[in-house]
Amino acid sequence: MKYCNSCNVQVSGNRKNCPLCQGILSPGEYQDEAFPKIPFVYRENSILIKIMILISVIIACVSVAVNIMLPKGGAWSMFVLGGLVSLWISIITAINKRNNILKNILYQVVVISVIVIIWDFFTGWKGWSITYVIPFVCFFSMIAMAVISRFYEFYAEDCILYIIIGGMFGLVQIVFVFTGKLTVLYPSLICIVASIVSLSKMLIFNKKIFLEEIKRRLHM
Amino acid sequence: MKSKKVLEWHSLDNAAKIFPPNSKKRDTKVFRFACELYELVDKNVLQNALDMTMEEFPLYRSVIKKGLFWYYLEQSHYRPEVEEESLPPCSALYDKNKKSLLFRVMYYKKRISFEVYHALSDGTGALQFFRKLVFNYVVMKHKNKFIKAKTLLDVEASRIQKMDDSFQKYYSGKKNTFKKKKVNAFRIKGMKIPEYRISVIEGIVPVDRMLAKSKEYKVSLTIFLAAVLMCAINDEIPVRMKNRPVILSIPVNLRSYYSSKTERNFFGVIYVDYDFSAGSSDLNEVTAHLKKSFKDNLMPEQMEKRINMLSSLEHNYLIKPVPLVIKDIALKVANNVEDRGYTSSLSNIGVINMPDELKPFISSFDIFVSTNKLQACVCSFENKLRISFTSAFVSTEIQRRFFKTITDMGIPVTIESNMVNEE
Repeated sequence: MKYCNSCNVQVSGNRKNCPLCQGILSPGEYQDEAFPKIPFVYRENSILIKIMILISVIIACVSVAVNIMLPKGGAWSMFVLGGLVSLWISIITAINKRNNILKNILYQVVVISVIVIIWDFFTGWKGWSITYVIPFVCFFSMIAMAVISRFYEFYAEDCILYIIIGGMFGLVQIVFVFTGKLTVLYPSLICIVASIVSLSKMLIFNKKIFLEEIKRRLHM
Repeated sequence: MKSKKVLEWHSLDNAAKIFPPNSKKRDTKVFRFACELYELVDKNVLQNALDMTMEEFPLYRSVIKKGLFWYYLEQSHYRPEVEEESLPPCSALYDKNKKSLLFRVMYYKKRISFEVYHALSDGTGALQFFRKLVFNYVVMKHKNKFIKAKTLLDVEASRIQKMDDSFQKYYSGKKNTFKKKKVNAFRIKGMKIPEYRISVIEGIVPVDRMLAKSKEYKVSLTIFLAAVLMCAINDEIPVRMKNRPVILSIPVNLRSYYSSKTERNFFGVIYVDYDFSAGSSDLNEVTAHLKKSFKDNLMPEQMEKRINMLSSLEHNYLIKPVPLVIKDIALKVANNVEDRGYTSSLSNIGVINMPDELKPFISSFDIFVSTNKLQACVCSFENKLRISFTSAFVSTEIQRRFFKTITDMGIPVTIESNMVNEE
């Protein structure tokens, strides 16, 4: 064991300096350290993300600059900026939720739905977001979740909530159908039918775990 | 879909509720128990011992999930795996984006380490698991020595007793007027260690010498250590902040106040303060002041008021239906306010007992906890008292002065620490 003459303490391990005063230790017999030495890792974004960020910055400032030089076509660069922001929100969500694929799908449904509604609104509300995009996104998310949860053999407790919420999202379309906001009905109807089938399948075959999950998630 | 059985689940106990929204890299709310043996640890035996221990402690199979109103613990199918230590001490265990078990078991040379997320259990609760794990390990490793003597570890608590939410059980619902004085504590400032790491500096001292010394000051060991720590912090306070009191937060095991054997959280926190601008920095005077302060704070009625105040929030009908997202924000604010209210923390786990037959195999036990400031944890095994400081700061001046005070009293100290500076 080594000894620090200024702190008057024995120091175990095989280091040179005193952990208390950082002074030089007097030599002693070799001993194992109590903790492994764990080197610092300087974490950085991956090169792909770095390149994507740089490209986004270039596109954004070049398009604004060009737009200022050629102002005749209106403020089209705002669309470019909006597109980039939308893309990055989606990418960041995907990265944050990368450990849970079903949760990731649900978050993408929400992010995409909100983004398309905002786009639709700012481009003079033509209703394409709630007529086409949202129903199809919901529909495909349900299909994807059903396939993935079968394919990966998820445990019930890991997938049931996401399938339920996915089904609920689809049912929101009923509101749009009955308030007469839609001119074209078939995408919404497909989506609603899929939701009802998905939720009923869950209720019929997995009634007990379905109700238990609801009870857990909603306990007060 | 696999496994359609109905899962066991529990809502988080009262003390645990604060942890999930406030766990971050800077303060992971993870604590570690470690046990040093006299021989190198065998990974396979440790894995078997762990599997066996898991059978008895179903709580440790839990993961944390988010409900609409509260977090809850849900039984999972994950199997814990023993690994060689390769992570910095008290690395995060709870990640809201990734489900995982709320504890880990690691080994390094002669040490078995067991890290637990605080929402699952407190020190005393987790110690039940860890003692059983060490017990199983030693007995399995040395089967031939334990053939006849079927040594048993203490009287065990029943499964129901272990899973008990004691905060719920002892909440009387009495309205009370418990008010905490709001004082701004002196807070340690300084450069922090990069990558959110913490430094661990442990001092090993003989129990008998320490007890004798604290008897000289006519106080208990905890009070004595608290006083030495306060004096060590005092020298750190810049003159312009001298008017701020040093406040220590001291977790108190409530199982000794109520008859509870739960392995979940059941602790309260008391705050003791000392104003160095008003009083002298003489150790005698500080211990005398702390003695009174501890006595006032630890009165059973006072403890009951504390439990009731915290539990009443959880039982409030206006708070219950607030969505978790909003509760999270409120709990973050509450935690920040709490954090500002104390300088440092001292936690004494007390004596760790093992059956006599196992003692020849075990060198010592220690415990320490993640922190964003400076915290001390103390526990003893046989005649070895381990005082473990964890700190987020680069400077080790407080720890140095603390151990200097002890060595100046003629008590020998052995230091063990992790390396945070790159040598």
